[in-house]
Order: sequence, then C-alpha cells, then structure tokens
Amino acid sequence: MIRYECFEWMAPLITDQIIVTSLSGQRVEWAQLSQHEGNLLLGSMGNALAVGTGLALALPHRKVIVFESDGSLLLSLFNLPTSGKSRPAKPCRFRIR
Amino acid sequence: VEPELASKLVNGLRSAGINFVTYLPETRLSQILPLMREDKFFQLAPVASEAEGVSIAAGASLGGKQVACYMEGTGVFVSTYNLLTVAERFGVPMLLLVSYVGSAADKRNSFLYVRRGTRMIPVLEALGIEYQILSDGENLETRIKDAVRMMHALKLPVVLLFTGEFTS
Repeated sequence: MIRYECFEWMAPLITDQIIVTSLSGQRVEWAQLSQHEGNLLLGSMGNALAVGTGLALALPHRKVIVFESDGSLLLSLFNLPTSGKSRPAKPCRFRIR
Repeated sequence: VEPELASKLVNGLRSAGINFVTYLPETRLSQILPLMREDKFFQLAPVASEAEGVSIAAGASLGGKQVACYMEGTGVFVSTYNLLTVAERFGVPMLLLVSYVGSAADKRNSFLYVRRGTRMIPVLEALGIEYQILSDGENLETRIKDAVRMMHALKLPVVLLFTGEFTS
C-alpha cells in the first residue's frame, strides 16, 4: 500500500483524534484528504513527534496520531527516547512505504 | 543557585500559573528541579535536547498548558529552528528559563562560556524574542508574572536570562 492509499483508508476513520503532520508530501496529501478540525499541519522537519508528545502529555484523554517521515525522524532521533520515556500513551508504529 | 532563591523562583513560576515545564538540566539553576518534582502542580518533561524541549512545550501549550522550558544558554542556540518554525509560526506563548552562562555577572564565567554568553543578546534580538535579565531575587514573583503576561500578550516565547545571584 502506498502512502496516499493508506491516507485514503485512514481519513474517514478519524473521529476525535488529533493528527500532527510533518513537512514532507504526507502533509500535503493529508491536507487534501482530510479537513478534520483536529489536524495540526505542522510544516516543520524534525518536530512532529515532539509536538505530538507535548499534546499527548497535556491531553492524556485524547489520542494523538503523528505522521512522521523518514527524513524528519532522522533529523531528531532524540525524540524517540524522550517519547518512550515520557510514555504519553502506548505507542503504536506503522511503517508505510 | 542558593536554596532560598531556588524556592522563590519555583514559587514565582507556580504563582504565574506555569504548570508544564520541559527541562534539560544544567548546573546553575538545577536546584529548582527537585522542588518542582515534589510539587504536583508542575508537570515535568525531561528532554534529550533543548530543541525538542521547545517543541514538546509547544505541543503542551497547544493542549492548554502554561509552559516553560528550562535550559542552559547554549540551548537557545540549539533550539532556534524550533523557536522559529513551531513556536513563532503557531504563535505559542512559552517562557524560556535560561541560565545565562558566560554573561558578565555569571559567577562561574570562564573562557569556556564567555564567547557564547556574549552572543546571547544579539541572537535573541535577531530572532525578535523578548527577554529580561534577572540577576537577583528582588521582586522575582512580579517579574516572572510580567514575563508570563508578555508571552501571552505577544503569543510568542519570552526569555528570562538568569545570572548574578542565580549563578552562585
């Protein structure tokens, strides 16, 4: 499944979740497929996971979904141990080709 | 920082409504950390980089928290990208509690810090970030409240630079 198809599948499933996107094409694709009020189209490399972690820590009753890209994640690898240690929620990771 | 001044600083933050603090510990102000850990009013988030400290705080602020980021002066240089592309872009109010290493009044100043310290103000001014320099505990609570009011008025980060008595 390519990313756009995955987003097409996901978009109708989003209800009250908060979506944080990174900078790359996924931000543009998601914005096209979803006008959900919980979208935070960040547009900054290396920041989506950290901002999503902050949102999840502040709003533990809400589910936060972060769309990262490989380059964005590599830019801020230190986000991974911080996110793991702060445990805002049980992380669930998918890899999309 | 002396315990009494550390306590005054933490009380000032609490009084100003700051309830979420990201931190990357350093030497001069680290005595505030155990005080905040003991106080359930504060939600603390230890970070691996000042850059993510700013971004996590931004997320928490967008989630309704009143946020601060505690870091050493060099952390400001590390987090400039995050300050610009997240905090400024989305208009996120946040208080940066910065140990002003290498400033003239830094009681632990040395050749190691001084060149970084002397570049702090030009960098903040280039970024368009408001700052206050605090070198003693006089009217500390009021000055923290003033900074918090300013960050909310601007919807931008505001920096408190701690030197002098805070670095002993």
